[in-house]
Amino acid sequence: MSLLAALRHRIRTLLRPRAYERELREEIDFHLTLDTVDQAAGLRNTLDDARYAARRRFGNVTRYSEETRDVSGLRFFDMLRQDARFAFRTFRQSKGFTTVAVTTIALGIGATAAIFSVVDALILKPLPYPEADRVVMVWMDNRRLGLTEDVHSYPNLMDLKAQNRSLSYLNAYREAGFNLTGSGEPQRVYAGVVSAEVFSALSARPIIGQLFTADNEKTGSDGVAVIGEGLWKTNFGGRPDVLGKSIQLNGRSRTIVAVLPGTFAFPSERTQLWVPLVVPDQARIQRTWFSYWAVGKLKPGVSLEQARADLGAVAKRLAEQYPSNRDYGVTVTPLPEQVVGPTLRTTLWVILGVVAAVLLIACANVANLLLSRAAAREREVTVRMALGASHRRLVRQMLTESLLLSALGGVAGIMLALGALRILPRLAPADLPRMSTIGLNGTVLLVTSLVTLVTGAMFGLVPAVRSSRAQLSENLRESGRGGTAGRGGQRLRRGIVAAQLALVVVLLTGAGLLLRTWLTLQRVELGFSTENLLTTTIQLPGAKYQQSAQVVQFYDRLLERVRTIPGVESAGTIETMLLSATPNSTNITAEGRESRRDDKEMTFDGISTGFLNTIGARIVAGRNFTDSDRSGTAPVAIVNEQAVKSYFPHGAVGKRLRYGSSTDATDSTQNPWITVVGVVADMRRTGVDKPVRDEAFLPFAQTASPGQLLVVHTQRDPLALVPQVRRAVREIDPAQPISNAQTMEQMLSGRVAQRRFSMTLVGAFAVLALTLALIGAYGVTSYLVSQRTREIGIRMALGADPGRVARLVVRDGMRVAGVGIVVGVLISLFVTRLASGLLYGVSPRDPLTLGSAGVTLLVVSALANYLPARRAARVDPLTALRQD
Amino acid sequence: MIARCPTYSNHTLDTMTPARKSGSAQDELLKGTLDMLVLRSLTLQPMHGYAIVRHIERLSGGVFNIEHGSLYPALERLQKNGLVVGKWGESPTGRRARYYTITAAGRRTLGEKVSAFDRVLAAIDGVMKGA
Repeated sequence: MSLLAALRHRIRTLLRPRAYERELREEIDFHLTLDTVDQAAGLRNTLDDARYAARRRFGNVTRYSEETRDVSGLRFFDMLRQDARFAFRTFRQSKGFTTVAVTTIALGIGATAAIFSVVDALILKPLPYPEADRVVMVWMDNRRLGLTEDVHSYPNLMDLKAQNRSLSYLNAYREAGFNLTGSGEPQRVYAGVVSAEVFSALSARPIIGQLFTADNEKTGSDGVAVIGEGLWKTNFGGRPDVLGKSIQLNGRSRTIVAVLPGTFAFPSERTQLWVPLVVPDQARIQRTWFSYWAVGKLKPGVSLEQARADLGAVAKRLAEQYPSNRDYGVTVTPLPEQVVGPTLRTTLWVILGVVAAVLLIACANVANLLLSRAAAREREVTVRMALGASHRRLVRQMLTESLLLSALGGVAGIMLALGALRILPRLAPADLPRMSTIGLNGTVLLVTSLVTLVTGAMFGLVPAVRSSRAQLSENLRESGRGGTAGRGGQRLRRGIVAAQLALVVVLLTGAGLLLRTWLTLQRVELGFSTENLLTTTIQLPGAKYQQSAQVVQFYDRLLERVRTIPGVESAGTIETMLLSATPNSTNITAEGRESRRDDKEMTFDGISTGFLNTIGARIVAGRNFTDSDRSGTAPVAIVNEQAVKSYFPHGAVGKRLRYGSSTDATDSTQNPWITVVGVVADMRRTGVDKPVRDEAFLPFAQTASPGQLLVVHTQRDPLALVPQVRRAVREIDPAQPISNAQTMEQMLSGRVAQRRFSMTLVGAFAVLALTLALIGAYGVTSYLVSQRTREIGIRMALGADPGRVARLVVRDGMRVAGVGIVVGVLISLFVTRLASGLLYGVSPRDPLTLGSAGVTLLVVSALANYLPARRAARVDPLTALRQD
Repeated sequence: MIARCPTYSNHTLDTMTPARKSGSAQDELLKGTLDMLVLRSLTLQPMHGYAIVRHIERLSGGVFNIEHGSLYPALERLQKNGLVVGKWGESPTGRRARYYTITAAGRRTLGEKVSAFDRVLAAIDGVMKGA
């Protein structure tokens, strides 16, 4: 209470200084009146005498009033107000300076605030789950495939769960797509197929209803679903009577039992509903049935390292116990790191570093501006000191000015950041997680204010201290009839310019490296065409298409129909998404070749006839699949050139392979042989920056997987044909939706969008930094030239020709630039390594990039120095000598 | 209680008013004493400034003859630290006056000061009697 009273008193005083003074006067007046009355009554004095006595007893009224004001702290604010008023007056007098300074600071702070809010949302802010930092993803570390984050088989996962001592929850889930029907248009939705324990690990709390339990995880009682807030609002109008209603998922009816809040974005942001995980009997016993993700929660007090060691030990025991587990370890990743992966983290930190450098450069520019101004105001300062202003008072006055400048810049910067945050999500790649949570919140504003404050102090303190430290006599001498500019000021200013240029070299190098990465990726041969290709996903519900014959019939009819659409050149299907997903893989044995322990697994993917032609893949040997490769005919495969190198060094066509390694303990001789009928040129099917793996394609008719990516080669704009393709699908099955209709080029650019995003940002900031630094360099050279007008005049009067004078000025400026560039290159050698995770096909110390950054800067700073030099060369000696 | 301090009285007449230049140890002691007297007065009832001065003068038998004005910086200091609260009210003559009330923290501080003061006095008393 007392603390509150004190606070209230202070705030009232500061907010209403006039009222405070009036009340103090009134109070003292009241005191004097009462005393006067008392004196008059007690001592039989005249009223005047009494008033006089009261005054004497009170003491000096003015003195005590001021002392009271002193105690209240108002005097300090008086001075501050005075300084601020003075500062604003000087700002108004030099509008040009103020505009340039505020704009520069605003650019720096705006960029920093915008990027920091992205970093805050994606990295610093915790995930919206209680104790999210203790939630961990547990992966299989598949050393056989070099995949550190691979999925588990159910028996392995259950062994990990039973034998570990560090996790309080650990259970399985999968992500699945469903065709949602029964409420309007057939709709493709993504679902988490989860064990109820996953809800516990994430402390899920439904908005309404009850989450399903472990009892629901068996056939018969699994007909339930939990829906997300988004689906609840769009499909059910957010009504509470949704509980107990039925929805059709892949043609199967499920009862809605609960609604989870929109913040519950697990396993991914696109997840809209959750159904119980039912593990088939076969998967419960088969240790090589890899299809389960796992999430768990650290027990209280258990560290991540302890959990890693503990689970690692369990995995090692399993590897010794079961031969099929050989080379399988465990990877434990905290959920926050999983959501925003290491590449994105690095990208964000790098970009934050870049904007911080831009802010530094902006600060340096303003510091230089202030230094020049301080030099111009030396007379004023000298006069004020001569009149008795203390050093402290002068420093405070100048600091007030620079803090006000930075505050103005900060406010403008926040406006800029607000604008930038509206545009940024549109430029950002669509798969950037948690984008919706980005915004200017309390943390961002606090950090921005701090940055603004530090900024103001940084660029204000140096000039302020310098100009107040100046000695009266020296100042008077220097601003008198001196010949050259003061040495100290020159050194400081040039040092600042050199530091700026060094920073710009680093930024340009970084931007250059990202640009080279980007160009390298653009040139990477995908091995297939991306032009005029329409892709769309079709997932046939297993409940409706139980026989593979039904699946084969559907796609056969579909391809037949699509190929007749006018404007379609060809069409085909592939089982696994191109450019993102990795197809299933397994160990194989090639006929007549002894398997080796270091054999990599081969990926297998089903394709329709016509698929390879449609995407323009090249058959380099043997034949393509034909309509006669059907179920029932001999199993055949087409392998890629990489697989030929690995398994069939003497030619693949006509050779045979089968699943399972001959070194495995499990008997693979039961598996049928598959004959290689053709060889296709290598394709970077999982992405431009991913390596080519040993790969085999099987005829769709022999795999008959219900989910396919339909690829259509069109004559003109592929997206124009989407309605026709959708109609073709409906004609065969009216309840069947298509999803993710996009061109192959869109798919490709989505894959590299993050790189383009970071390259664009870093590049834009590097150009901004370059511009700022050049303005700074130009400004300083111009200023120094104007200070040396007199010296130049003398030189020319003594016979120096204009060319010589210009060279002198340029040489001076370039010496500074040279130092800056050399230092910048040295720093780059060390700093760019931090971003090496973002580079592809280029070394962080790439000499070409470093060299071009240096040369670019050399050329433009020569220009920045040449312009003032030319002005110097035109100095008229007579005018120069007469000046001042 | 205040009447119990004869050793303090003789030289306080001139030096009781806090000097303008603040900072010396003696100033702090005097400020502290005045604060203590004000707080003690306010434990009886809320008072305005003039009443506080008169109360101190009356109870000390006119020995504490401070300059009245020095009360106001002291009151500001006490308010700033949350030891008293000032509120405008109506005086018996009908004029507006600012009445000061001691807060809980004020009472606590007063208690601490008084016991510290008592210890000093007891010590001085012992030395004087022993001599």
